[in-house]
Amino acid sequence: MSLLEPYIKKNVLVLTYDGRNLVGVLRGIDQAVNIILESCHERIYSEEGIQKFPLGVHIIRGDDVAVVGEIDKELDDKLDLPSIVADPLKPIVY
Amino acid sequence: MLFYSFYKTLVGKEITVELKNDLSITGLLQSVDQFLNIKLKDIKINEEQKYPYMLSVRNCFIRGSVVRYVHLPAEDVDVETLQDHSRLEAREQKKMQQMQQQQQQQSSK
Amino acid sequence: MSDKKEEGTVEEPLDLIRLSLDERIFVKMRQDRELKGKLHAYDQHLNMILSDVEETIKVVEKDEETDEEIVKSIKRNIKMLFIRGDGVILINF
Repeated sequence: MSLLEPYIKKNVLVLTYDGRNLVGVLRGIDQAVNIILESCHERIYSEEGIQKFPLGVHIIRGDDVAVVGEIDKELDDKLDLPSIVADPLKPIVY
Repeated sequence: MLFYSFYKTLVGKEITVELKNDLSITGLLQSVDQFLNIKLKDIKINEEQKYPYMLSVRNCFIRGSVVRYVHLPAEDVDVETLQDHSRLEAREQKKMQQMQQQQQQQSSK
Repeated sequence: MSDKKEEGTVEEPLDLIRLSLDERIFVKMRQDRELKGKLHAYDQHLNMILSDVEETIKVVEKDEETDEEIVKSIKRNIKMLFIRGDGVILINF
């Protein structure tokens, strides 16, 4: 049983190896942690706050997945994305 | 299997997982699998201001391969048992290797 | 090779690690990180658990004015630590 199964159909955040932040509905997963995200967008962090970039349906290779977080809608709606200023997430380095 | 079994004894305890991208996530250990993928609940990112990437996330899955360290609750770790299990597993590992070598020798004859 | 192996014999690198259980070891990690601590568990991937760990990270900072590189050591102490084996470069006993 995959640890990710309970997150299916939920809104999730995926952090990738190269430091990208993807948000969408988790449609499917497999043994290799390959992921299908629906209604997906990327959140880009910069000095001008977080910008959303729509992507539609997105498949992420399991080898590129670092973290998958379950998004709490209530908390997420309260976030004022343009006011959150931070450097982009660092990539995974060995 | 040693660490998989070990993590199962820590379910429900608070741990801090430090990732290879410098993100540090503290939360209650919810579950673990044989790849040492980890699920945490009620998470908090250390230095949230600097790393505001998971502000609306309460529960998360961490891929085992992105883990650098895990800070463990020392009072819940039985070091004697760990050492015994490490020796036991080393012995079993050797037995397996010897068996494989013998099989290879036999099949090459 | 005899079938009966003494616990104390060292034939392979991992045997040396087994003999260091409950002893303090030095671990050099990728990313200029070094660890000192007491070894309590390990496996064939060199995943480990150490206690009373002192970690030293070397950070190179550039002086904005003189353009000189300054190597800084940052130390921290951790009571009980799991280390993922894929970051390990070498172990010293």
